[in-house]
Amino acid sequence: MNVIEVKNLRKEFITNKRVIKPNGKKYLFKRQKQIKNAVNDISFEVEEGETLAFIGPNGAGKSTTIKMLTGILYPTGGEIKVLGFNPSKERVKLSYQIGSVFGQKEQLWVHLSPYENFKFFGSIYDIEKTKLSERIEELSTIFEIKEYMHQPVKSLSLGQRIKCEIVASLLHNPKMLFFDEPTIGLDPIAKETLRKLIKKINKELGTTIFFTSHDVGDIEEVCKRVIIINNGKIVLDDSMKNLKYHYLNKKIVDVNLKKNVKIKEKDGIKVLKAKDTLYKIEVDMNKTTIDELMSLFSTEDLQDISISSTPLEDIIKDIYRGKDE
Amino acid sequence: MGVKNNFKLIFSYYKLNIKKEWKYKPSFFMQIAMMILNDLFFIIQWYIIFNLVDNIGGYGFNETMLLWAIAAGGFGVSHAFFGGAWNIKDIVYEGKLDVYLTQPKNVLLNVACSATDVSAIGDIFYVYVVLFLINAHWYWFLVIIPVIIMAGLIYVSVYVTFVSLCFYIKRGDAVAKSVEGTMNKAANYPPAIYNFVVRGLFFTLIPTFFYTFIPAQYFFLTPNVWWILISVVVTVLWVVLAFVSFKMGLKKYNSGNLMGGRL
Repeated sequence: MNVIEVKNLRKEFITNKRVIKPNGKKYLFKRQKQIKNAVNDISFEVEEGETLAFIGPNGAGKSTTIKMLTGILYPTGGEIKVLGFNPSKERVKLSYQIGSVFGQKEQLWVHLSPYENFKFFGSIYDIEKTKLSERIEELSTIFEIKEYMHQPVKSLSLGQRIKCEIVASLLHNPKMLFFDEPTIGLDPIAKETLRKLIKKINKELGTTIFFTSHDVGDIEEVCKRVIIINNGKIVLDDSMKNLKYHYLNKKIVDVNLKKNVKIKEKDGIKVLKAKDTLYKIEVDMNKTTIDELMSLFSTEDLQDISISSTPLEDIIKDIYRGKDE
Repeated sequence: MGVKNNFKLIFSYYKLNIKKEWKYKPSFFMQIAMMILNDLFFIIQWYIIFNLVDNIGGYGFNETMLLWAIAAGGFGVSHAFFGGAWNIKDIVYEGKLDVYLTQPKNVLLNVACSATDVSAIGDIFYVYVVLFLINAHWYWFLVIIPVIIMAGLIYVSVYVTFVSLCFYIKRGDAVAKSVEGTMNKAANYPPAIYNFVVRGLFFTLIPTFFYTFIPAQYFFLTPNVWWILISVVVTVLWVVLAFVSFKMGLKKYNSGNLMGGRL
């Protein structure tokens, strides 16, 4: 069952810029309308229980899309259905069914403790007192926050705070969770813990996860499907498995030879770096083989060799730049 | 969302806001005391003025004090219960409305209730200080409660209606601030001192007279059922106008990506 259905979604931002006179000065009142297509005719669907990474470079339109899906922004055109609701017309009904965590915007009051915040969120979501207490107990155990649940939020570390933010957004048992860069600013250990918890929410509670992040590690570990958006358009919509299979066909071979030799480039073999006897070579496995590469120099000259896949981060960077072929 | 749920939300927020402020007890009491003291200075000012003149527009010291008490009470109610309305400009310009929009409550009510100006509690106490001072009838002490609630609702609704311009233009709050300033300044005088055009303005676009004069005159001094009913209708109309203006503005909301937390 689809929980998100998006058809030909568009969002324009209109700005009025003062017109420049021929002498370089600006007119006082004359304005020119400028239209920026933040999201330009995108369509996609998300199934129940999926973990989707919605990624793209800065200004690509990912946050704008998330904001339209959660009812924060009104779309300029197109259709959106989230859990059967139109977010801009049925925002209140939808809010009971979804949760959102914005890494850049906190919803907790910093002078109060997470527990006091949770109690308040219970009244925002009209949760009965006994149910709320049970839910706080359950989530505080899963997220291991009991130790600091009664300290003021302002005294918590960023990692602890984000955990509490997630608990607050799960109190009303949402069917979907939107994460907009939740790991921003976290250290590697806190990131790892958070990723595990998000996977756990998806697995144990069956919550659909819609995730944006600039951290490839987040995407690789948490998500099974990736949508890449750039300049307001979807440039890739594939499973993480396929992405790796199709785009990880390039191997990076680091070779250390006993002497300096001239390695001839050919179709599928590209020398990325050559310094003294050290070579970094990219091999496209769709066009050639490692054996072919080995034939370009004598194995007797070989001191050391290591073969690795192109990091997913580089692949995504290439897709952002439009070099996905 | 039902009326009961709205009241529940208002009081949940009020409890939360007081709890937040209560963490800093000396500051909590200091703010209330300072506001009462500040208001008391105005009594001295009015006392000096009425030693120089007999009346202002037909109103003597006691009547003017009643206007002043209603204005302080209305201001107090609006800032104590709906103090978040005065943060609308920052919330809109800095894209902080996102958090409120993802919650299942009316956005304006949610924003307006999200902050309390503790000093405004001092204004509410001050209303009773004035009533004692002017030796008010016993029932005025009860009637003043709905009166300052209505005054508070008009005050916050007028501000919200004009500050909703922030969704359309930069510095849209400047208009709201001017209107608020005019309402405050004009609130202490009866209509007799103004000419026809200004009176018209203060009964309609900037409803100062419904904020203080009509309640003072027709709830207390010369009770009149029709004017009481008109006051209720005008209050409801301004509240509706505030909700409609804000809702229309929401369609123009552009959000933003500034980082920040809730204090």
